[in-house]
Amino acid sequence: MSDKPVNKTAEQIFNSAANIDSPDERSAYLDQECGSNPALRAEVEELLRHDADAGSFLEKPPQELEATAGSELSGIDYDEAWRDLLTLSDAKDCSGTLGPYEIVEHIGRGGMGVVLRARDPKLNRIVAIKLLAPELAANTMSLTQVEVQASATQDLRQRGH
Amino acid sequence: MADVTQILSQIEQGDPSAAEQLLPLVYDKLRKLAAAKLVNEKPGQTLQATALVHDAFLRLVDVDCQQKWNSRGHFFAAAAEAMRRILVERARRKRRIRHGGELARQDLNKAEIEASDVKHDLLALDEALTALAENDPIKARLVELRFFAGMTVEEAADVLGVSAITAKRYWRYARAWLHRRIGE
Repeated sequence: MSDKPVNKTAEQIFNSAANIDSPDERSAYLDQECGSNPALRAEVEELLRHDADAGSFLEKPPQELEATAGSELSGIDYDEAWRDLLTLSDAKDCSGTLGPYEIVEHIGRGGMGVVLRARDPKLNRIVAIKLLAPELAANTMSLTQVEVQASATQDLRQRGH
Repeated sequence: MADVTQILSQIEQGDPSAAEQLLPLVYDKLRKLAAAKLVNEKPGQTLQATALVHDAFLRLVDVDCQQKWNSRGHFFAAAAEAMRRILVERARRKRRIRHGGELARQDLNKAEIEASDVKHDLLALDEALTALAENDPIKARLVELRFFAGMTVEEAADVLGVSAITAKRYWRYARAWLHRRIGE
């Protein structure tokens, strides 16, 4: 073991200095620890300044999740809200899965919701999925309309159109 | 898909593949829970991310399992990381939409301006945290547990396997370090 003291890191000096409230004592402590190393002192002083300036930084939880329901007014996120319904997937060209379907892309937005292009991996065919806007999904009339559309589409397909 | 309680119990029994399944599962559950809750909120209302993490814990993890401290730790560690990703994705998406020619809202008030500042800060924080994790992963995880999962210093200290005093010291240094990095 050498008698020479091991140089402290900026972090170690910061930890001690941060607990010294008196500016004079703090300065004396920094003189003692970083005397011959101005770069180290500048580093520690900068960190101490940020410690003092940080205020409530990171002390308050992030309030980030904003509601987009009924979203004509608030809906900057409307066209993207459907992404929250997807399950992550590793499949190629796929934003995620919704039930058995692999969602490929967002095709458009209609009066009632969004339309997504999706793959049905079981039958290996492309399907369109219509997602009702949340404010309509609770409405029986809208659900009936979708059922009528779905059965009309199915009829077309069976007739070979 | 296996449920959260089952995976936590596999982790407890030392199954290494279970740990890999936990993050995507918790991520998925948190997103769905957030989407379901937000549907019932008034437009513009916000959900507190950390409250959502705690709510998810109560819903997704069995009472028997909750009593084991380690399960709680594993869950919150995954949930903190998942919530960070969710918030960052949402902030990126909003920034993209804002710069992408969508119609701006008419009624810009102070609260909204503050909210968008927070979103900007969140992306900067994410980058700063990634930089911190390169040199000092334990401090970055401490910040994740406290900020994104809403844990106290003591709870986070237990998850990380350090003393509360050490965690407090880490926290103070990490906060100053991140504040400086973001301020640059």
